[in-house]
Amino acid sequence: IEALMSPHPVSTLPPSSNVLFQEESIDLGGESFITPQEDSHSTPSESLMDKLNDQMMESVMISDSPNNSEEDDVVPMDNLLEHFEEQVEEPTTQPVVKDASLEEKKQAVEEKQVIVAFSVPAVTPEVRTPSPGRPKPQTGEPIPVCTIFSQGSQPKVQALVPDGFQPTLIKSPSFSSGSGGGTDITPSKLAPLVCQPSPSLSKFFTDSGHVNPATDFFDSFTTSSFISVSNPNAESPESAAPPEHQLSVPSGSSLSTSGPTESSTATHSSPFGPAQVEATPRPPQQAAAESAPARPQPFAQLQVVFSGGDDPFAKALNMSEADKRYDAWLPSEVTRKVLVSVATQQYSQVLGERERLAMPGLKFDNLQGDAVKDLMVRFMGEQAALKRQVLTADAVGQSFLGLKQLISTKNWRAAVDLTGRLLTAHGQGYGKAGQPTSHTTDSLQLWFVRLALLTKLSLFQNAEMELEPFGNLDHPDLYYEYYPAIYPGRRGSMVPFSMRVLHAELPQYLGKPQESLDRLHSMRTVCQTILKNLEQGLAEDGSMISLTQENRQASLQLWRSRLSRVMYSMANCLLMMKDYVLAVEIYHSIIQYEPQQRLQLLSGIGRIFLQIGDVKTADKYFQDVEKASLEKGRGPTDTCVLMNRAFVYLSQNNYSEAHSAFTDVLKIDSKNPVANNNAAVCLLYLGRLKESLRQLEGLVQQDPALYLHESVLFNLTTMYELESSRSTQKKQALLESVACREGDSFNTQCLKLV
Amino acid sequence: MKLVCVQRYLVITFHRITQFDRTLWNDDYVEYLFVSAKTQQWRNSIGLMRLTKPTLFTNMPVTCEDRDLPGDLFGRLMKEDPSTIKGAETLMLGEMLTLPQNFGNIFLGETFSSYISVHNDSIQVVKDILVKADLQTSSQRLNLSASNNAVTELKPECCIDDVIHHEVKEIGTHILVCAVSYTTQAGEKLYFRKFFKFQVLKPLDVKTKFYNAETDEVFLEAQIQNITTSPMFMEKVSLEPSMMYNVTELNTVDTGDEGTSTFGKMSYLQPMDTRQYLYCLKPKPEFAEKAGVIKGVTVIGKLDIVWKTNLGERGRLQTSQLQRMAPGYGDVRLSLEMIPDTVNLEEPFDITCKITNCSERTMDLVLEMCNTRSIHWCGVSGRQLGKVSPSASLTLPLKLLSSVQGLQSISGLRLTDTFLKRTYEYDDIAQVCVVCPYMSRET
Repeated sequence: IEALMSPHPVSTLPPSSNVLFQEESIDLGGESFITPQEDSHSTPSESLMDKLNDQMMESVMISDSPNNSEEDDVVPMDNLLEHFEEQVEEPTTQPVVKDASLEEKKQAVEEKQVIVAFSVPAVTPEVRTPSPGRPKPQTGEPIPVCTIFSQGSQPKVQALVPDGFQPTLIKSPSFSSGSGGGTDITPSKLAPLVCQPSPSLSKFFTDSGHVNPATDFFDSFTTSSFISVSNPNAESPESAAPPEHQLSVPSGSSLSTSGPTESSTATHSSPFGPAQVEATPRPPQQAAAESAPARPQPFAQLQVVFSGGDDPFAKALNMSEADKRYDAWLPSEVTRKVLVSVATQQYSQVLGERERLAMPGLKFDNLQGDAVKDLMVRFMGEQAALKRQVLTADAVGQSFLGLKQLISTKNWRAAVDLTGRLLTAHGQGYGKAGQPTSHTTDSLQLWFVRLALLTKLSLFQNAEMELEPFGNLDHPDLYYEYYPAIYPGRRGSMVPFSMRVLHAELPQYLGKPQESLDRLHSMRTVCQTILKNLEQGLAEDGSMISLTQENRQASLQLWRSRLSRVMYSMANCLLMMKDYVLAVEIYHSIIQYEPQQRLQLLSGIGRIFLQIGDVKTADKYFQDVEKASLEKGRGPTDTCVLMNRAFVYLSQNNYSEAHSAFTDVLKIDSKNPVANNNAAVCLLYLGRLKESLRQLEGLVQQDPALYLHESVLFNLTTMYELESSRSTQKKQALLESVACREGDSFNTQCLKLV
Repeated sequence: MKLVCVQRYLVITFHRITQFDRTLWNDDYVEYLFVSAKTQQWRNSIGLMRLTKPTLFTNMPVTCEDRDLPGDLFGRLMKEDPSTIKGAETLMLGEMLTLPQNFGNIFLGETFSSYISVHNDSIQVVKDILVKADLQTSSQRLNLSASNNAVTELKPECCIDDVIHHEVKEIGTHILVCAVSYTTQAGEKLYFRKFFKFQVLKPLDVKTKFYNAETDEVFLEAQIQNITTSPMFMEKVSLEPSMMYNVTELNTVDTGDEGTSTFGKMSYLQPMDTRQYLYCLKPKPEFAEKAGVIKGVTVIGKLDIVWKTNLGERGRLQTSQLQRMAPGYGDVRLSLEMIPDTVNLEEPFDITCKITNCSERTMDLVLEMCNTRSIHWCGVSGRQLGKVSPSASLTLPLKLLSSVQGLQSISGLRLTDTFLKRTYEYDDIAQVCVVCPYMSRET
């Protein structure tokens, strides 16, 4: 009988009855439940820092009063509790990012004024058109006229310098005595006042007769001739008095390090022939130094010279295939029309709609600061803190080279400052947002690095503020076609792809994951369209330009990897949103683009299931990993397999088996930091605090490079706090070892000293 | 016996040190601690830490291409970072375990685990250390210590470790009371305690609904809502029937060998998500006979729910016995033994009714059949069915046809007990789908 029949006298039962739980006998009516804070369970979206900021809401500790000594006294609950009720509901949010305080801003602006001038040789194609709204030059204002290097590849020279730069040049601590006009001023006398040629640069430019070092240097960033773009937003060198300080920013434009090109090394030798030119602006330098004694930053001077000679047509031909490949992008319809009208000379840049242009500028000032040092001052005194030495933006060359040095030594705050200076030199400094400017390959690369570092430092709001003028990265002036005079024949996006990824990812860290997903989806569409174009025998942008088979393959490969990068971002974002179904689906689909990451991806998916609590499904994925590992001939003793097994044990509350699985990994790979750390964590759950501590402490001492990581330190300090009342001393010892090794970007929160 | 010493010093090392502690201690108190720390040489401390599962470290991938300004720098930094997945650095979810950072929430049915570490911070050996961990709830006090024996001595820099577990069975305020008593070398007996308060919250909201089928089957619909803040993997949601019933779970769709869940691929519940579970309960044969006459409240069974969260953190709850009011059938119950699900328009079809006398007396019944707008009964209305004694039943084949297409409700049966002159009406007995045969022939 299939039909359900409702009986004629309708059931008198209420349609739904609340089920009482067994023990639910307590009347909770008056009890105000604390709104559950974000659960402690890890979600990928919570950075460690967020977790640290979480305040514990319900835990309360008190000491009993000295008189209350009878241990069997059952303390009346109400008495115990009444003191704590207020504590429980404290506000928890702490702003992660603090803006530069307002009062500092003005000063900041002054300090920012750069200090940088490029002389613009007559050879330069002058593009600068004084805009009516341009601010009047003030006395003491810097004259940032940017000199830029144009695109082009020099494969031969490239081959000579495969690394892209020479690290040895970085090392000289002070400027060399042989550096031309600067020699007569002693460093001590100059110290904070006078421009000091950066060591690396002075070395390049003293010896004018010798061409190669300079070429080598510039080859690190550019591969061919220079073009100067004077920024309409920048002050003109003629009007603004003798440049006080001349900073040489070798803003090499083309960063292409690969790609076959036809031009010869000859173009390279020419720029550096007339290095003597730099002598000309030098005399005013000293005067300037005196006139601005407060200026803390010494800057190097560099004369950039241009290679003339190349006609635009030759340049167009020289535009390498690699450039085309990497710069390809599909602008929106509106932007495309503007770009077409620029090409057909129907578009006047002066009259161009301002709102359609990207006009960025620094939004905040110096980040410079070193949290490690601050802690040292606080806990160990000024004297001990003196030992802490980190590179600052002043200590390195005011160049891309110096920037790279700061990044690789993990002094990201200093690096952000340096990008700020270099951008100021380009006329996009503090307060310049909203003012007309022109973009170059370099300026956008600098923005990219700056924003990437801000993101790495978790200063998301700062990054968002500074990205805002760029809109959706689709303004016409962010495409090469907008500057036919400067980049003749070059097409595509000036905005590096990685910056687009960053731009798309950023909102998710600011609680707007949907916006991130939207941006990522549109990026994915572009990647897919470009791939489709390539597969259909067209060029990336869908034009009929024919590509050689080789170039097509290279382009397909590049765009596939870009597509997979976007997919990774999407999956990561979905993971943060706890949309596990979609996240798993996308991670799975990445395998087809990155087959070599199959094991890692399957294991990762397994871990996602463990995070949800679905141990069974996780185990299925881990078995797939095991099979795939067997196929690769790596067998069941693969670290990846062992690691997964350990996680399954862990999820079954079997800490001792988990511990031995992690230990098995160490038998194969004794340096595996993850296995080492995880084994120690298991020990704690087994009630072996001292052993666990010994293991972690030993690791940090033996191999600080690997173990001075915030996760390990966090575990260590947590255990110190559990162990004894003397945790602060032990934490200070950690601080000392951090101080010896880590840069200014170290996240001191994991030390839990404050 | 007075155990307390005036200079007793209590050190609080609690792993979740935040501003919270500072707000708790006013300055005077901190001052007191500071002073006594200098003067006091017998110091012991107790550390407490809730052992929820560790979490996996997530890193934030920032990448660039070789051609970008930083070159391979970002890539190298990510490769050197021990917390990234080697070979797939852009994968956010790493493998590095980190210890729980805060107390988090604890829910009814979960297991509360805590590490208790008593550490001798002094430079002298202390003796006869007794550590006691009690959990005070609003209704009882439980002893959670593994052992109640005193440790004979504790050397400086040594500690007594204990990991306690307790399955939380009450909602509301809990206080963990850790008490340590010990004797110093000078023979002084010292004692201190530490309290740790936490709230146990309700993890799930369960609502149930019963449907009584005419066949004596009972359908239970249970809505289970996750009212925690984290996703919950539902490992098991089963109905343990009472002795009267057998249960069939209707939460999988049979496809081949293995049934697939009706909830799709992922078996987890996001915060505030609700799921509907459906169960069919059939009375066991020995009770089925009496089912027609069972009246009042009956016990159906209870739901057993097992869930897991982060890295297998487990929780389990059982509902109280679910009770249902047996449907009242009145004096005479009319049920259907047989009815087709689909019939042709204007074509007579057969149904079989069962009439049961649920009253205490014998009845003499007359059947009337009233046509409705769509249902037309065939045969004579007003016929005598004869006498039916208490609990007896009779089976009655009937013929009818429908003049309207679609899902039609069968109504219009009237039974009259001639002894008491009482009429019982039976409408909406069942539904039947009426289709047009010509249409189906054409297609």
